[in-house]
Amino acid sequence: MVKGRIKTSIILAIWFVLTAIWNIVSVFTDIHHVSSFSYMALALFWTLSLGREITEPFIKRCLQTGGVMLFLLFLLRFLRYLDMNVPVIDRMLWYAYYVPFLLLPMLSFEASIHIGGADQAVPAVHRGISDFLCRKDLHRNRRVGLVLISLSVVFGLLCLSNDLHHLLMTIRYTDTEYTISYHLFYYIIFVWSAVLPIAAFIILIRRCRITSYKKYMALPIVVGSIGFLLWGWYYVRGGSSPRIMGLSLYNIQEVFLLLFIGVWESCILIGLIPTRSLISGRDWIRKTVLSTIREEYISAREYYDGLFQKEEDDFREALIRIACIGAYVKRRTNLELIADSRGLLSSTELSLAIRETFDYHQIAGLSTGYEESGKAEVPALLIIYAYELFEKILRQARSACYVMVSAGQTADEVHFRMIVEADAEDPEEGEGTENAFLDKVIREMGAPESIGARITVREEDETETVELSAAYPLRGAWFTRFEKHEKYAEHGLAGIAGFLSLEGEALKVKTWIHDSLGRCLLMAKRYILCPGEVERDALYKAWDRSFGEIIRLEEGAEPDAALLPESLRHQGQALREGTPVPSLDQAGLMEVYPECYEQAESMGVRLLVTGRIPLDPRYLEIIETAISVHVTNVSDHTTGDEAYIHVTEDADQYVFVFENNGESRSLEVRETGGLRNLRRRTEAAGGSMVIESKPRFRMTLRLKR
Amino acid sequence: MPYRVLIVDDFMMSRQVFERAVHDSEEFTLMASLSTAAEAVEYVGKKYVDLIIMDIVMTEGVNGLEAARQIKDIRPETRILIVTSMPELSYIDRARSIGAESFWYKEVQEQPILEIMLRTMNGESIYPDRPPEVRLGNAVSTEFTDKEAEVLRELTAGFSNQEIAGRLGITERTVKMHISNMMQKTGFRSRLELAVKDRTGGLVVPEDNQSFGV
Repeated sequence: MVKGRIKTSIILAIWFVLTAIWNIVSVFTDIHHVSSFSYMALALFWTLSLGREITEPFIKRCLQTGGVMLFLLFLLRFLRYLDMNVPVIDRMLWYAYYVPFLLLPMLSFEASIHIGGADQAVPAVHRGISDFLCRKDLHRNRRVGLVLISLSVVFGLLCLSNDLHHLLMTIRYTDTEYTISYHLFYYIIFVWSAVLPIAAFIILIRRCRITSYKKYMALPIVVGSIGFLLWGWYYVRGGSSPRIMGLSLYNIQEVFLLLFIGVWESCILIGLIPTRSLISGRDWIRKTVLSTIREEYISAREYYDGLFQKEEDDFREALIRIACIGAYVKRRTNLELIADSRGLLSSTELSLAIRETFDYHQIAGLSTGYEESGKAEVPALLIIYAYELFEKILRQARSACYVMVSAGQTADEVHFRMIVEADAEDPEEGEGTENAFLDKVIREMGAPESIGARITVREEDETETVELSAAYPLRGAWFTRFEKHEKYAEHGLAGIAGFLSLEGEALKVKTWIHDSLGRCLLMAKRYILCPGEVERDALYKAWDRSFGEIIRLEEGAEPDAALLPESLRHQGQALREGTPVPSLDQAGLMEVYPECYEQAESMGVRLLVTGRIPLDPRYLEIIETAISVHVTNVSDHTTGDEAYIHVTEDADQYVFVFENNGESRSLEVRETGGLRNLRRRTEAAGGSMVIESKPRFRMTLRLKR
Repeated sequence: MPYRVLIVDDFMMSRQVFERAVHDSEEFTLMASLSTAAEAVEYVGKKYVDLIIMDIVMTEGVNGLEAARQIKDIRPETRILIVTSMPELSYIDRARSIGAESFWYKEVQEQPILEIMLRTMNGESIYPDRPPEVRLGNAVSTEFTDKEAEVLRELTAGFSNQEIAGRLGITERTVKMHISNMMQKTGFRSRLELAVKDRTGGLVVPEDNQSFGV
């Protein structure tokens, strides 16, 4: 439950009930229309309360627009019963009535399909309708939204122009009254206003079930069920107000209000919709990274406490230990960040994670070796499971650890295999059979069978290797393995997957943790490998701003205004208010990002920059990633050998255009690995990324100033 | 009339090197420069080329040796110059058995590539005497017996001792003996270290470089 929202919800509930009661008893008074004004005020209050609360922009827009539509609905109700005696106006008010009836269901549906982040996408585990109900897919949502909005506009115009065609209704006036006969278009709207809210409701319930909020889902179910019952009762009575002892109980407008505000407020209250009340400081950290890496965080704390007061030798040893843990945290966070909306990850992401992890362990003195063969897109859960398994084995290694990974796709299936070997301590006599390690893994991570994989422990030649393998048929069977995602929680896999439905702010926190830890790790590596290049002071500042901040948040402090993602926007604000942002030309870029130039040179690509690259602290990592991805793409996927970066800016944004001097080798650009990672980071920072492949490859990044 | 050349290599820089060699010579003209062996087979099916410079290890699809075999089936008159940077022990024999006219190691470069190309078109068949010596731990490649190389190839493909025994038609005990001998020669402490270091060095390359153990 979102504690910060409880008061608002109670106010709304009491307000609604009192107004509904007044609506019933007002027949005994001469005071009419009070309920309409009350409902209008309620809608307005609710709409305004969403302004600072909802953090996901699209959902906020949908709900606020819905609030305005409800305000309009009751305003029209009030105006309709004023009896203006001007037939044209009367008719137009009737027709206008249907605009909220059209838009409210559409807005509810649009908001519902935007519930959930990519990290909730256990993806590619469903098919067809089931996939649509359970999984947020931004590309699909855009297409659906376009269709629904177009239809809403067309239907709305048809309603308002009914006098020209009478497809909606015909109103016949007599001396004392009028009669209405409904035509085809009325029934189309009826179906529309029934199907979309029901579909939205079902989607909300399904998405509730696969999150950590399922224990509270009774609330929106009850509210929604009451709403739909009242709606059904109304239409069973032929579209007129139900009565008890002659008293009119409610009208259809109240039902719409209950179904919209009631259900959505319930969803906000239980935390299904990300809000500022839900996410704050300690909650951010607890719910994002620490929920999945608790053990590692505690280990890292032990090394970090007093780190910078140690003597040099002890300091270097502790530093590399914490860097090894930090590398795991960073890579683990990254794997969750970059899982795509289908919940797939390329096996090369596992390779990158293992290689970087090994980098730091090699510095710590471990003998390591890694080889991979082939690549394939496999479920993100499998990749994360594999990485976790690798880490568990690595931690047992005394002096050596070796890994081989293979992945590929045939016409019928996708296969994956990871073999890990480490010179671990021999198990004590009487404990630890060949299944002891397996038992521990299953206890902590869940059974691999739940994700369609298996673990085999092989004892050969006096060593023991652990093998994780999986094969998924391309059609049919592999999807059914993941149908009941909520089962993962039962098997403990939710712990290792760490999938949360939080998005927006939580995503930014994860991105910040990943990026800031990345900087710390690089500095730590340079400190150890290149003595004298990095000052201990600078190292301390970097680690304090990253890991130190995580500790302070975990201990209950409020977020530092200078550090966390939300406040990075404030930092941006400060930059806009007159503080010039330093920038780099080509020569400067070579000094600050030498790795990019080294990479380009090794790939036979010349990197050329026009314009100046801004040193906006919010975007340094994004820019570095974009350059790296661009160089790699030019080398691997085009015939060019020159990578161009054009940088321009206007009052609102920086614009980076990436091009090259060659032709694309393939007709279509597939966003995998680096491009996908770049898109996630860019969009998490509030920017946009557009890729064109014809006639030539061009990537455009826009980042807000 | 210049000889028509097709270059097939998945690594752009290698292709550029070969392209430069062709452009620098009046005896050759470049027909196409492709990044996969499968494309090469398709190309040769439609157009005639005199000489194909074919890399062996490809990141996608069939490898160069398999493609060369297919090309020899459909265009036996087309000459094939196999190139590789992998010191894999079996490549020379396999290239010969397929009928490739010449073989050239990219890293070693005993003779310039252009010279090999000219001599190949003049009817010569140029093969190195042996693969380059590669160090694997404390051992060099020439220290391994043929059987050890076979076992190492299967090991590098990720197979268990039992699977290796089945695939090679020997007993599991024999497999263990070969692996133990190789570990002694190289100084490596485990079979996976042996497999990983071999994959890095390329002394033996699994049959299908796309995946192992499947």
